[in-house]
Formats: sequence, C-alpha cells, structure tokens
Amino acid sequence: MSKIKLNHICKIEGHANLELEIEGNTIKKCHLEAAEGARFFEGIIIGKKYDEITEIVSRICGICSVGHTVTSLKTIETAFGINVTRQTEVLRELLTMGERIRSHATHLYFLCLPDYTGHSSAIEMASKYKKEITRALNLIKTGNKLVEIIGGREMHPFTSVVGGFTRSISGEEKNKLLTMLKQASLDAAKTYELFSKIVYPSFERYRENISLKQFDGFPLLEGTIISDKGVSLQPDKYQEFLKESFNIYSTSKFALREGKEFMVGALPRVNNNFKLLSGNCERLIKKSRIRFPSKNPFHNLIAQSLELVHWIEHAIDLLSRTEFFNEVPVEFKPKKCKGIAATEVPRGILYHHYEFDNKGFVTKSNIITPTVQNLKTMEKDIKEFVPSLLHKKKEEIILDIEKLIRAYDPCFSCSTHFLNVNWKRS
Amino acid sequence: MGKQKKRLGIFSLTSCDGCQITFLDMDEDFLDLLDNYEVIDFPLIKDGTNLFEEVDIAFVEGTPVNDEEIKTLQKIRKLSKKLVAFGTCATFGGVTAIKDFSDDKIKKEIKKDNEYLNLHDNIKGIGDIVKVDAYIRGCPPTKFEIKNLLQTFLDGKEIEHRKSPVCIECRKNGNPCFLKEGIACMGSITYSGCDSICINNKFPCYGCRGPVEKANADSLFLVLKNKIGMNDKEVKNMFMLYAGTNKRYSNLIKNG
Repeated sequence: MSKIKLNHICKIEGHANLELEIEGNTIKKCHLEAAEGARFFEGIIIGKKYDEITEIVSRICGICSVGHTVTSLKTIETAFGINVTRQTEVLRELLTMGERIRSHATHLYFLCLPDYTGHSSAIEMASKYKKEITRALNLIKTGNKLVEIIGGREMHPFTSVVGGFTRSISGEEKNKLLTMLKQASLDAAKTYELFSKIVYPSFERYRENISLKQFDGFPLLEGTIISDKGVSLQPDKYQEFLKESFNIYSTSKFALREGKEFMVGALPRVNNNFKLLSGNCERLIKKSRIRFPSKNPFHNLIAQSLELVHWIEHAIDLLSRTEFFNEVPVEFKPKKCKGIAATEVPRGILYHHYEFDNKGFVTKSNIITPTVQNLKTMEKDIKEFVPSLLHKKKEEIILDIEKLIRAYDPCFSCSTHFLNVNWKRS
Repeated sequence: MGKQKKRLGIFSLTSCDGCQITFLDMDEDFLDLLDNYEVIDFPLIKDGTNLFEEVDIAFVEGTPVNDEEIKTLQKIRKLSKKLVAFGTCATFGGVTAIKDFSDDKIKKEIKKDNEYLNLHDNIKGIGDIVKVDAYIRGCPPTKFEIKNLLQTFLDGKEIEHRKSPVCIECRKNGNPCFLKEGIACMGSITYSGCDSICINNKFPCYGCRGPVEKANADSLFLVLKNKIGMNDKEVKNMFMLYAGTNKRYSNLIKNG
C-alpha cells in the first residue's frame, strides 16, 4: 500500500492537508482535512446586536469579505422586513462584482497559472510572463478600486450598513471606475483566451451543479436555488435539502444533498446559466473549443475567466446608466424574527441565517460557505481521478492532485468557522 | 554581483488570510519590494514553502489557537531574525478571541465542538507567546504601514511607535465628531495610523487597531454608557470586538 500525505497544501486559501492511501488501483482512504483552527463565528455572534454582526462575520474571510458583508446585511434586512432603495442594491451589486473580479484574477493568475507554466509561484513567472502578471495586477487593481471606492476600503468594506450605505459615490469616482473597467475588459477577454487554451487533464465526472437562478440575468445576489437535477427552492428552505455534518479528521464541516455530494461555484453557475452570460462571453465561447455544460472540474478556471468578462461588461453597463445621489439608510425597528439569505460569492452559494430577539440581539445563527459544500465533491473527484494517474511519478501525481484541488478554489479560512448548533432542540 | 537581498517570510496562523492578501493588493509595489527582498516563505502563493527556512524578517498573521500552532509560531521565531506581528489577530487575538468572552451558555456549545478540536480558551496576541520585534496593527493593516516597515528594516532603523489616537487624525481630516452626535465611536482611544478611514466615510471607529498607549478606556466606557446611552452588554461587546484581550479592555469587560 502506498501513502501520500500532503501537509499544508500551498497556493490555496487557508490551511488544509490531504491524506491518501492507495492499494493497487483503488483508493482506500481519501481525507481532505481542513487544518485551519476553528473560529466559531456562529457562536460568537450570538448575543451581539444586529449592527455588529456584519462587522464580525466579514472577518470570516479576507478574500471574500464583500460576500460575507453583503450576505449578512441582506439576512438582517430580510429578517426585519427592510426594503432598501434601488441605489443600495446597485452599489452592493457593484461591490460584489469588484470582489468577483479581484478574487477570480488572484485565483487564476497567482494560485493556478504557475502550475501550468511549470513555476513554483507567480513571483518566479514575473520576468518571463510579464504581460500576464501585469494583466493580473491590473484586473486585481480594478476589482479592488471598485470595492475601495464603494465600500470605503479594499478589504472588510464598511460603508454598507443595515438599511443602506453611509455614503454614495461621486461623478468623479464613477468616471474613474469606468475608465479602469474599460481597460480591464480587454484584460478579461485575454484571460479567457489564455485559460480556454490551456490543456487540462481530461477528467470528466458528473456531479450535481447547484447555483442560484436570478429572474433578470446571470445570478449574483438574488434568486432561487436550482440544480441540473431539478431542485428549485427558495433560499429560506435551504435546510430542507442541505445537510451539514463533520468529520473527526477535519476542522471543517461538509454539506450533502440527500446524502450525495454536489458542486457550487463558477462552473455550476455557468453550467446552469450559460445562456444568460453577456454577448462578449458568447462570442468568446464560440471562438474557442469549450462548450458548456462541462463535467470537467478543471473547467472551473475557464468558467471563472468567463465571469470576469461578464461582470466587467455588466459593471460598465450598470455604472454608466446609474445616477448616484446622497441617501441615508432606511429606518427600521428590530423585532423578534428570523432571516435567511443566499447569494453567489466567488466560490459558490453562501448562506447566512440569523434569528433575533425583540431587541435585535442574535439568538441563533448558521452560516454555510461554498467550500463546506464542495469538500465531499473534491474528495470524490480525487478518489476517481488518482487511479488514472498511477502510471506517473509520485511528484507528478501530487502536482495533478494539487491542480485539481486548486481548480475548485477552496477557501479553508471560510470553511472552518463552525459551531455545531443543535437546530432541532427548540 | 547584485546586492544581497533580505530573506522574507510571510506566514499565516488561524485567521481570515486578509493580512497576507494585503501584500498581494500592493500591486506594482509588491513587485518593487522584490528588488530588495527575496520571498522565501509565502505558502499562499508559493509552492514548497511550508518547510520553514531561516529568514531575515518574518510576518506572522493570525493567532495560534492550539498547541500545534504555538509550536509553529515558536519555530518561526527561532528561524527569524526579526518577527513582525502582522495585523490585529497577531497583535491581540482579534475576532478569534471573542469566544473567550462569551457567556457560559455559548461557551458550553463551543466546548462540545471542542472535544476533539483541542482549541485553547485563552486566545492572545503572539507577543504574549514569543518575542515580537514590531507590530503592524489593523483589521486589515494598511499597505502604507507594510511598505514603511519593510523600508525601515532595510535602513536598519527602529519602527516608531505612535502615541496619538485616531481622534487626532480624524480632526485633521475635518470630520464631525460621532460622540458629539450621540453615536458610539472608539476613535478617542484607538491607535492611529489608519488616517481615520472609517470616520472619513461616515462610519464610526470600532477600534480595530486596539488601544493607544495612554488610552483612557475607563472614561470612554462611562461616556458610552452614560452619554450615548448604550447598555452594559452593548458597551462590552464593542470593547471585545478586536482587542478584548488587552488588559485595560478585558478588565472592563469582566468587571464593568
């Protein structure tokens, strides 16, 4: 029996280990272990007031702090029955697009591309691949600028509060963003061309694709939970089909649907909604040899590059046709209630669920992050993928496994936050 | 032959990974710093860098939550000439420490989960565990402070300790005072260096950089209670948010 143990896998967000035991052509053991220390976010927000929750849960993740911030605010607003203005919705959409751009660009160029060019990091690539690295930095800078101008700062944005925003954006800021986005749209198209031409391992396996479906376009912050196996549910019913458990070997939970694994993220979003992508995306797909839906998990990278194109185009459109005015957050009264929201963040669907007492203090909470939903699918993929690699050298096998794990863009900072609240008790 | 580059390590303990992401967000400045620094360890973006080699300067983000992470931290200390506590989690424990101030009911829930996690129940800044040569505070830290520290280190100088609170920066920026408007704000006791970024954008200071040396935390505690009208729980929640492990704050949280 041979064993492979990867301690602290590099170039992913957060800390994780992989333990594999191979006997002949079969995988006897495949444990993907989150090794990040748990931080009990669901526990620490209990007893906190509604206006502090968002500040705390943003710290679940530095990479998708916008995702946690916006989802948290939507959850609180759903609970208290607050209807925000259209401008608030637009600003949150733009914030989210900014994060989508920088997160995908960082993942594609800094965490994944070096694997396919034979480098240990983007730093080593900088001299030979100057064009690509400059492009990556430009995309990241554009995404960051969107978040900074609208959210007050690049990471852990704070201007978006319960009921609205503390400030709007000026005409000057809007024009600055438009100039940057127009330049970035060329970079995004080139990113698609680059990632759609990479030769990925030809590994195909069907896994249920779960994403949101938004009535007016490619999903972002609203919609029904759908799957290509016919699921169609409102977010507040998420507990009817998602079951969370945890493994003794990991500090992260994992989620299953009817006992089976499924996938969330850019690839399921594109697989389920590719007809809703922008015109530029459609043209780029036609020109390339890639077709959706795809069963190859490595194509998550191609799906991310398509989302770059789509969201930059969409952000330009949305910014150009919106006039921004000074507004104050909507007034409201806290009450004893429950709120649930689901949004699409860079790595898939994010669920926040809070319950409040009549003064607006949290009494219960539950948060399910994308990586928790993808963990079992990743394990299953590794199990089925590795037997096809066994003729290779050990280092090559390890690189291929790491490539597969990275393709999912897992975030272990996000996934290891849990508190095992017993929901059935009351 | 080119000049000898300084060897740099960027490490992460339990955290949101945000501080190290700030390094990447420095754009071209990140590439520029490579003129003077060789990146030895940076597991977030570099393969094979979890081996822990000797470095001239190590940045450590996050806070150790179990024995294993404490050992990792001690190992990094041993292999580094200078060690920087990078961000609020490394300095004070940050939001990770909030659980230690929770009431008994929640602690009981956490204890159930903790049966096999073996996490410590006294999260603290890394300076309470190993010797720290410099601190960069903030959640997140500013890019300016990272660049400044790396330059200061190259010049062989000591990092200057800030003595004034965010309030001074805020007044210079001409913002109206939240406290005077009856809104809770911790700018008067919080370590400066952020250029009062939150207040400039009409959001009060929640004290993510922890207290300034001569912070009169007791007095602000009373102002928030008596003048702003917050109840005991609300004020304590505010003090435990980022830097609750600091003695002045933890005394107030425990004793009121």
